[in-house]
Amino acid sequence: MLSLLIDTSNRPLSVALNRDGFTLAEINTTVKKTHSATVMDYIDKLFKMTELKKNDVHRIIVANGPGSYTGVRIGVTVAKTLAYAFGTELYSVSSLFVVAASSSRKGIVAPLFDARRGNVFGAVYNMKSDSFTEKVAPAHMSLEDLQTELSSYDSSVILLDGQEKVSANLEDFVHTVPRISMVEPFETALEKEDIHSLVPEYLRISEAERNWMEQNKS
Amino acid sequence: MTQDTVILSIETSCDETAASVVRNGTEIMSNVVVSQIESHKRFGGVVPEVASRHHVETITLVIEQALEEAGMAPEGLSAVAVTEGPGLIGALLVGINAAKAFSFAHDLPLIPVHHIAGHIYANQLEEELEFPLVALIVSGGHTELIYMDDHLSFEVIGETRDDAVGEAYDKVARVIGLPYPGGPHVDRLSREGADTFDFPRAYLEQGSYDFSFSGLKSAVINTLHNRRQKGLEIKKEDVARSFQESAVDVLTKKTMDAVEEYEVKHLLVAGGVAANSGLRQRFESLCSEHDVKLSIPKLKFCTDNAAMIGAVAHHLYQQNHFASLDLNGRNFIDIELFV
Ligand SMILES: Nc1ncnc2c1ncn2[C@@H]1O[C@H](COP(=O)(O)OP(=O)(O)O)[C@@H](O)[C@H]1O
Ligand SMILES: [Mg+2]
Repeated sequence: MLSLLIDTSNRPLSVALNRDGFTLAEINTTVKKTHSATVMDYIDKLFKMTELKKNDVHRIIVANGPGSYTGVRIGVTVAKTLAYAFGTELYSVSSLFVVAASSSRKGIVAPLFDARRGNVFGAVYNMKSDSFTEKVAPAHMSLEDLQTELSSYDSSVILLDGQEKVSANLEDFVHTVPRISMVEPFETALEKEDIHSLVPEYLRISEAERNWMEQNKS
Repeated sequence: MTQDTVILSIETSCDETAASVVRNGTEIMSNVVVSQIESHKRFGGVVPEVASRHHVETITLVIEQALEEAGMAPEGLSAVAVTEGPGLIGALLVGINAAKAFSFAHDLPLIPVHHIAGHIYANQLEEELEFPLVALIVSGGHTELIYMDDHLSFEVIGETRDDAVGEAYDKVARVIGLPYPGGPHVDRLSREGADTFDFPRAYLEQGSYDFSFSGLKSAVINTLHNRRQKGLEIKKEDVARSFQESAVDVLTKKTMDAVEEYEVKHLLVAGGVAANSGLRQRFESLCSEHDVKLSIPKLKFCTDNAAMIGAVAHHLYQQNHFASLDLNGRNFIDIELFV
């Protein structure tokens, strides 16, 4: 079974072709380039590198957030349209879980993305070699709350792209960048989606809607 | 016999998610437009992040519906076209990435299209363009006068230096308490009022085809403010009419001057404000007076749609004007340097 995997949720970009869970080719970058210009080009390169036919893809797996709103939208748009055009199955996976799966750390891990003003998008997983349990579901939360949660475990590590500065100073973390090729052993992390109705998990309403709700409370 | 060109086009530059199938640049096989206006109304204007979110919700459905209504399988298509800009960047990116993915999946050439070129070519969906021509684009985001002596040759001879005319309409509507988008409401009220305020007309320097609507907008706001302070009655109908007369005077005067100087026989008007009854009437009488052919597309082709993108793309296709998979959105593109 051939899978095409796509993650453009944050500054790192990760695309891969896996067969039966084993990686045939992948492209992972962390340079500051716009994913909009690169992601389709890199997907094209994956097929050229492997000399596989696009129509042989069985399923598409996309990291559908949280992350940069624009970044997540690019990945989801590409994944939806490719799945629709090829008529393949479409799966989503949390962008935070992609980071957890990309680390070789076992036990309690907390991948996080900065969300400014002391807030993060974070989750807590208990990782085993090819299974996991979700301790805290992906959410927008204060870094403090996440750290309090982590203190209830004997040991835990925060997984973070060390090139991204977290607004609240955080020193104790393991530098981890997403490699979406790594998620396939964790079948339960993958959610089968209806192609047309898939939307990103922003985990936050837009600022305009927030302000509007403030003003229209009464 | 030359082969038909059948193009799937996608437009997501602002608050409409649209896809269309057009044959040979003129024949509309389908034209699907999902408007987000109801969602943006509560904010009193289009919110870019909200617009982008709505685009990703409907993009594949809109594409599917356009193909289904056209009775067209992807194998029957010649190319995929998409609005590259100008527009809201986050919104553009949804259409562009969908277009790239679709073109990649079906091995179709990808054609990037300038949004304003689309508005001009909306006319081609109803009748042939006759060159040379002058086009006036009036919408919520644009006020431009463009001269064309042939297909795909665009010369911007005038543009707004501040607010777009539709934007001014919407702001004036807001200050007299009309819902968003206010243009149609101001238009409706104006028919029951008189030009009693005599707001300024911004003709700018002699010989310039540029526009300015911020002075007019401020004049309306200040006048209303002063009258409110003095406790004087404000007749909304008269405000609407006075504002509209000023806007129409300036738009038609500059446009007709350009028509005369450039010696064209065909005038196109497009964009959402082309729906304005005062503007239409004035152009109709001026053009018949000056023996100039006037084309104003049907309203559904005046506002954002993808069929107009397909109409331009047909000509780009013939010139092999294609993009590669690294195509990106641009919030500004100079139309003169586009092709
Ligand atoms: N009858 C009318 N009179 C004046 N303005 C109008 C009328 N109908 C629509 N408009 C204005 O047209 C604009 C919308 O046009 P559109 O082409 O969708 O613009 P854009 O896509 O640049 O926002 C709005 O500003 C709206 O108020
Ligand atoms: Mg519009």
